[in-house]
Amino acid sequence: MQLPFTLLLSICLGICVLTKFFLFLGKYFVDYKNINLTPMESFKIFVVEDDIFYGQLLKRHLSLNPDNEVFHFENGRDCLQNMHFKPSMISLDYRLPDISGMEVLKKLSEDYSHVPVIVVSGQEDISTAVNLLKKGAYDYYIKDDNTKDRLWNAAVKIKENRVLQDQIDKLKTEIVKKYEFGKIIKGNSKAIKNVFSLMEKATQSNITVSISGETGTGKELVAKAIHYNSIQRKNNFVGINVSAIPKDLIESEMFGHEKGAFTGASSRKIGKFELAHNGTLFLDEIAEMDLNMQTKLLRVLQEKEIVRVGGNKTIKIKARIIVATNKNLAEEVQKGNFREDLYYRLLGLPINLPPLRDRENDNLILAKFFVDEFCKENNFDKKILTDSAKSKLTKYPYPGNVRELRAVMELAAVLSDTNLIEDVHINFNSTDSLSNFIMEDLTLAEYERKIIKFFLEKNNNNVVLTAKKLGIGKSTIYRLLKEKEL
Amino acid sequence: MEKLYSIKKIMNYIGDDKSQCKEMMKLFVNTIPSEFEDLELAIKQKDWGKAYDISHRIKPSMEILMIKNAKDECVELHTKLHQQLDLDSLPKMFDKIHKNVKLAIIQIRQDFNL
Repeated sequence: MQLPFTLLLSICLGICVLTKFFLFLGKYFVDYKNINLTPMESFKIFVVEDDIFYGQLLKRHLSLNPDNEVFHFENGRDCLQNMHFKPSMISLDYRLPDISGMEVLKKLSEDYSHVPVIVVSGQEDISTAVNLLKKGAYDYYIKDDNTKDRLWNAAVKIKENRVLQDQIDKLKTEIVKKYEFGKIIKGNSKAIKNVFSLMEKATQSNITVSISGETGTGKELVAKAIHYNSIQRKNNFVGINVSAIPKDLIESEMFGHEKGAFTGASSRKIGKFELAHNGTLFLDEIAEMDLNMQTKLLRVLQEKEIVRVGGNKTIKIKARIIVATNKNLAEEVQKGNFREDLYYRLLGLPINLPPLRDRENDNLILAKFFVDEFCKENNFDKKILTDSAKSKLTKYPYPGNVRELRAVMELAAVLSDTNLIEDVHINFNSTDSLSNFIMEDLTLAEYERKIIKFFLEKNNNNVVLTAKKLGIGKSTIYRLLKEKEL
Repeated sequence: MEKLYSIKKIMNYIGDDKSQCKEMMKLFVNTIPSEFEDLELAIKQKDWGKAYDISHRIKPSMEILMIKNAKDECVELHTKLHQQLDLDSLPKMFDKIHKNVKLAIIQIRQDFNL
């Protein structure tokens, strides 16, 4: 048994050594016209220059910065064939022996539009330069004694921009992560799972989405989650609260305006529709939109183009529309407050966010999540919900929904001095007094006596007046008083 | 002996690195002669398009090394080819440039032990 094991081990080791050897060969002996390229993430500069002497000089000059990895190609074809090495910048001679600089630039603009290409040439023809810039060149330099310095400065600038772009991409990725469905909406209830399923469907196309739900159910979060999980995520999510903008300003806010369009329009303003081009426009509180504006919005949605206020140029717009309301839009149509044609245009995929009271035990999952998150943010020790706190939390109807629960739990975390959150730390400050009133665990008869007692005290123990106001017989009150129930 | 070229601009490009300077000079003396042979042939054959391309290619090298009695002449040759003007004068002009470049190359070889 010992011998086969040793043999097997030797074979394995042999395979490993051979694999490493071939990988080594592959890495160091790939010949691109005597240039060994390694696909690293450094700042790569391609110098495409048929004058070998001048090309080498530029290469050596730009290599003085150790952050730069500079490669010299003598023709356009070699440059195009090595684009998989992802250059960060290209210095391109306009006159090349095989393909013209213009042709190389065209190909680069088509397939690698993100790579800045600086055309360097002895040509001193302005129309050529303009044409090159129109074709997508980053810049155009005439070959002279300053060319090397200009290229050096361009590399510095492009590098700075790349760092900024990397930071933007990183932040965008973080936003996308932040808006992952599971992170943004907590819960295991059937109602919320149904919402997840609809959100998933919404991300797979650019269908208009109409979100409805009581205040505090997270309509805007759902809109953002749909955007950041959809194909439009690389572009803007632009939100606008229709009810928060005065009627006179909403048109210019949505469609933008030209300079001088009205008093105070001192410069051109880009509207939300334009800002959301290729992204998502979120119209919150859509039911509050003025009927006149509804007509304009309908036209924009039908024509997919806008005209800035005071302007006459039509601008094509392609944006996913998500609307939200805490009202029943169908009822608003019945009442004549909302245009029926706009209603059907906006309905798209309806997502109704259930109120927290209809989400089974989601309130406890959310309560724990909010406490944990708050403790983490404030460097508090982890706090646990006691059974009494849980019991209190499950009985409350949450008129302010998730937003209210978050506030309640954050306050509870602050009030608790230990690692336990008790029922005394749970304070509901709902503006809905009925919600507070029915919080107590009483029978209907007990609630009845409580109401009678309250009104008796309010009416200075005047039984007749109290009975009249409550629409009950005097005898009922006298009986309760006699039985010492009041 | 009078200097027929200057390394001032080259040193500027490569950060005063002498060994790199030698490498660049080696590259110059190894590549430029064949370019001139090609240019001579193109002018002889009156292939002005090709002649223009070659003159365009060698012009920066002449300017960077500031080859005496060849730098400005090379620019003039390039301009004439570009504008297709006074083409009959080009063979004579080329001979003069070529002669001076050859002299400069000899000097460079001596100076850098190439």
